[in-house]
Amino acid sequence: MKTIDGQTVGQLMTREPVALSPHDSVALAARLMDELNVGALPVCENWEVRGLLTDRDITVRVIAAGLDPATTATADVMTERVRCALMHHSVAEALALMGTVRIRRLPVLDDQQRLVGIITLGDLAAQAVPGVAETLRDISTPAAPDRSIAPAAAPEAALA
Amino acid sequence: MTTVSEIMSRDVQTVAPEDTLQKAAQCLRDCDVGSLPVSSGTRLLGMVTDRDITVRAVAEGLDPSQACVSDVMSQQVQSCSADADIESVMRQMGDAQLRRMPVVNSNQELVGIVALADLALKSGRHIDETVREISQPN
Repeated sequence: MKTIDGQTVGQLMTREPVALSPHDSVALAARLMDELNVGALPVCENWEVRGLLTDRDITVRVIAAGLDPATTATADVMTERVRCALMHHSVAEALALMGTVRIRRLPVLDDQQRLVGIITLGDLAAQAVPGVAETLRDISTPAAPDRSIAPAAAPEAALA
Repeated sequence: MTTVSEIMSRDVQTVAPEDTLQKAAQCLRDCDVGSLPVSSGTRLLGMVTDRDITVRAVAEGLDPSQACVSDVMSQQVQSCSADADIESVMRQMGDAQLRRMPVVNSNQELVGIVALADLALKSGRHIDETVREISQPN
């Protein structure tokens, strides 16, 4: 394995992330997930993260609940209080956060708390980063993910 | 050698091809899983996932209370035998980027399901390579 000392989330993240507006329909979100080949999209206002919407959210909170995707807004079914990584976080910090919250994909914020990228377990795995297998083991342990819905609030910059 | 039968789950929740997408979504929610085998009796017909429902139904504007599982399921699914060695199954799951795979007998009847979580928790072997393959962007 190659040494990753000093690598930061900002160096490994995918930049120019596509984000949804809270007013966008779930149907539009699904089309974007299809076109972009991703399973989760951040929901932002002025690049401030309000939540995260996943294909899982669409299935269990919209389709299972009998809501109409064309008239349901992303803000109504997204997961709020999203845990975010910061650009200057180390790879180890990002891995620890993914393991703790059991999420493979984290929004990345700059110092002004604006969305600047997305970091995934795949980004870290592609770098042969030590600790990835342990993180996946944590994420894969059967238990409900820590994505509890809470009253809307500023995104937490965990590990700040 | 550890075989799949030693670590697989035998109590498999399935959906039928004629079930509505709303019902399938409820099963995915209630079982707390991201994919379910589609079967007719014990015969494995395919798999349906959160992602199938999102991109093949919602993105295409299908009505989830009318469209059925057979409209969006994947038919050519990877499966393995209960007496397969878990190392080969881990490679197979890595190559196919799967986290859950159905287990069938010699008559292609569904007898169980094996999850990456089962491998991670019970095999005690290195799963780094599988993880890396599954986590790669397509």
